[in-house]
Amino acid sequence: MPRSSLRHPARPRAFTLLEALTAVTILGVVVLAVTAAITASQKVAFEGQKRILAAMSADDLMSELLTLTYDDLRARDATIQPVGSMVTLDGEQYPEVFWALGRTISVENVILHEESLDISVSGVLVRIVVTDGSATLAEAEVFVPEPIA
Amino acid sequence: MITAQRSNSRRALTLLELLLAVAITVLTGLAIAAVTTSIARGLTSMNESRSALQRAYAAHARLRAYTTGALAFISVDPDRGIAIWHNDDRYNNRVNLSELRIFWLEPSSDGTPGKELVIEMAAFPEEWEEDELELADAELAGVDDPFNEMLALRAQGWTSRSVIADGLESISVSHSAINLVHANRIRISLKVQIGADNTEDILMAFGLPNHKVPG
Repeated sequence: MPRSSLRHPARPRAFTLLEALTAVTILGVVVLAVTAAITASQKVAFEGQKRILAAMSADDLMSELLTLTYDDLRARDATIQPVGSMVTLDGEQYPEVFWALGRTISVENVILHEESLDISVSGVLVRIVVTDGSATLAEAEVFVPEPIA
Repeated sequence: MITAQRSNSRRALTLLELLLAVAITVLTGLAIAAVTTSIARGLTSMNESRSALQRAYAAHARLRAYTTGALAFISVDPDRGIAIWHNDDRYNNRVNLSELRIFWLEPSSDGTPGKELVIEMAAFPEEWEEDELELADAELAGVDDPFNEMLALRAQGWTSRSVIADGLESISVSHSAINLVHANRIRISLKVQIGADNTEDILMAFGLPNHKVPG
């Protein structure tokens, strides 16, 4: 009988510490990767939802502003609706789903010049910016000509 | 020789070891099942919320398309829907049937849960002459119910309908004036269904820059 067979009989061998650590590490990496993927997809989905709501609320406010008279419109310059406190022009609170959004209105006097016709039109540039407090999510801009007296 | 004896004597698990192994396996299985279920539930909920929001956005865009140039909201019925004066193509400062648009809130036509928002408008036969059109395209009197007028047109086969949103539960309207017809700013609140049991409130604000009170 060879000497080695006597010294190393065929018996089940336990895992070494290195093997166990490798297995645990691989498992940990897989779990972390799956968790990170799920978290990232949720973040992207939430971001998408915020942008949809932001676009809706920007359109809504612009649509409401365009019902105002020219002077009332100018008086709305620098209006700020902080995040979580959006209201319609008539003061109705937006529901909970809009909690992450806020809006600002700026109304700037401008004169548009059309070179081909050589005419100038004075009016205001109404700009709405919807943010979540850190980034701009939606914008809307409309030029409103000054009414002829 | 002792080595050779040891190699053949493989000890079985004791009852305690076996129970411990089974317990650990069951606990691990339960933990994995709980995590998987929770992830699946979260993803389903996220998908349902996203779907609800997309439906709301579609409804918003389509309602805006119909209301941007509209002249007035003329009637709201929480059980039936909303009637708007869409244009004054006959230049008579009155609401003719062809200028009326009704947004009906109806049970879903394909059997899915929730209701759908359907727009209906007059669609007179194309082969009609102008005098026939004028006769059929009656003016709404103040006492007329626009919903019933549209139903009467539908009974004759003179309307066209299309679904603009589904998965809704209810619709309500608030506005900027004492009377709806005098309001140039309207808010529409939609309760959008999320899955089978939940709803999300969505507020939509519409301005009517061309607002006009029908004569």
